[in-house]
Amino acid sequence: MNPKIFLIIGFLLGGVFLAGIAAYIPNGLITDLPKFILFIIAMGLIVIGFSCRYYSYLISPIMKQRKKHIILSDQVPYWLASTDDCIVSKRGEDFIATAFINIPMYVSASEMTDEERERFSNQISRLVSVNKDPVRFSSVLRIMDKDEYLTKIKGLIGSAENDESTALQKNDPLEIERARGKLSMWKKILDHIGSKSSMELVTFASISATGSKEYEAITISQQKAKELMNGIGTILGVTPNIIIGSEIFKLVEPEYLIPLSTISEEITKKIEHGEVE
Amino acid sequence: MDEEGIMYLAFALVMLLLILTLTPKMGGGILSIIAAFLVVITACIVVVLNFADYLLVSMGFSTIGLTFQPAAGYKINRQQNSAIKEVGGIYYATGYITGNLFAYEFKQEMQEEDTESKIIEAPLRWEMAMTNIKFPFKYHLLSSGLNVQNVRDELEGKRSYQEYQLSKVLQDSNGKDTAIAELQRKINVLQRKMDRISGGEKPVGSVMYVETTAIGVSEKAAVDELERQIGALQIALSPMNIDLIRVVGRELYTLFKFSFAMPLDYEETKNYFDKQS
Repeated sequence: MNPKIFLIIGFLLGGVFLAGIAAYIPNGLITDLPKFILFIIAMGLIVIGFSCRYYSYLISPIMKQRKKHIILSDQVPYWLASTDDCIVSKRGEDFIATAFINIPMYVSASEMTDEERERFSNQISRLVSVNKDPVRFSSVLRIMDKDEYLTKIKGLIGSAENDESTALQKNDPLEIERARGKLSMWKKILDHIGSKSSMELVTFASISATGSKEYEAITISQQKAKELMNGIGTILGVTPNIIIGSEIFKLVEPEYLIPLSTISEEITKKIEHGEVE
Repeated sequence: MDEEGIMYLAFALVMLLLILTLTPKMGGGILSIIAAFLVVITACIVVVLNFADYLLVSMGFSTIGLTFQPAAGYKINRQQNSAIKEVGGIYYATGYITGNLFAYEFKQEMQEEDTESKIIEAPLRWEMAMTNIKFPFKYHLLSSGLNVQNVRDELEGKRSYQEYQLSKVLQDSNGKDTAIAELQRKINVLQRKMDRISGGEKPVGSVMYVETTAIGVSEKAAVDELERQIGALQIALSPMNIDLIRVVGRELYTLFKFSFAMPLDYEETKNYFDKQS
């Protein structure tokens, strides 16, 4: 039986018991106040008991810690499996492994005909009921990390500037014009790409499996993921793949949604506009 | 409200009724009236908790100023509406809103041509919404297959009950037309659901929600930015006929945990989501 039921019954019966004690304390000027305090505590126990249906996980930490910042868990929420293909977390004594599947979709609705759109919507509807186990289908809109690309362009600008100075030393007008044209092109590209953030939309599915041992949970989750991939592939006609390694963090951790360069850029902008003190 | 909820509510109210019978022993006169009044107030709190615990409990925690640590490195704020993480002096606030696509009942009631036009327009509307959003967000659809026979039995039971109600209204000479129409509508909805299952469609239970992450140089800045992003998301996604409600309290904690480990069966999913979704 679910332990929360004992908690609910315990608190409710405790409330009745305390109210009973309060009722049977003899009346008098001195005893009236403790009677009422006991009665109010009894009412509090009834409310706590009823709240246990959804909040049983809070009762013990709140009572033990008695602080304004309650620690429900001081463990890391998950860790990357040694196989690199899923994340693992603990629930009680069991391990839960969650695998992530990338669903490559490169179609644009604006380029589809009405029939194609209808077919696509129906495919998505079928996709939802593809598996008996709980599956989460997600679409993530995140800011692209262009740092590497921007560094490459900056390198090309540096090389174009070198070409320009070499041409100036040689005093070759044709070469100077060509180097300046190249430099201007890369600078324009850098300005264009660096001026605003680009977004990317990634679609993925995730599925979990439990096991009493870590490797057991990982194996079952991979098995489930493969079955799910077959279903997705058949319905959508795409080739899904299991997301591995640090790519998983991009779907789980908030800091991977926005590249660090974009954050510093945004903060700088806010400081310039006086939004940040 | 499910059977389990009715059972808990009934048990708590019976306990309060038992306490109410003890109130004459609380001193008689005004003291007994005060005690009875306290019992009535507690009963009201229990009933409100049963229907909107997420609002009442979140409000209570917010007033006391409680914050929670759901896992190492994360914090649920005082308002119980965002999970905050700090990485290298940057704060990432994540919030959730329900994203249920048009309620199932209404979908069953729609005319065939309405459904078709919605299906055709859905991918376009989705794409238009995406182009209007300039910050990271995730749309999640958590689906789980249901037992066909159980769902069919449940629907048949519901239809029989509605038919019985209809026959009672029809026998009554003063039976209102609106009541008859309402019951017939309910029967039609149930019949359509049964027809779809008979036609081979697998019944699916689903929970849809939207997640967004905002950044800031302080906790307050991140939460303020999150509020702005959630407002913008509600505007951007409104043409999709999505039921957008801010998730607070225990469901926020549940959705936070879903980022790392999913529920393992539909019953578990159903237990988590009773009210807000």
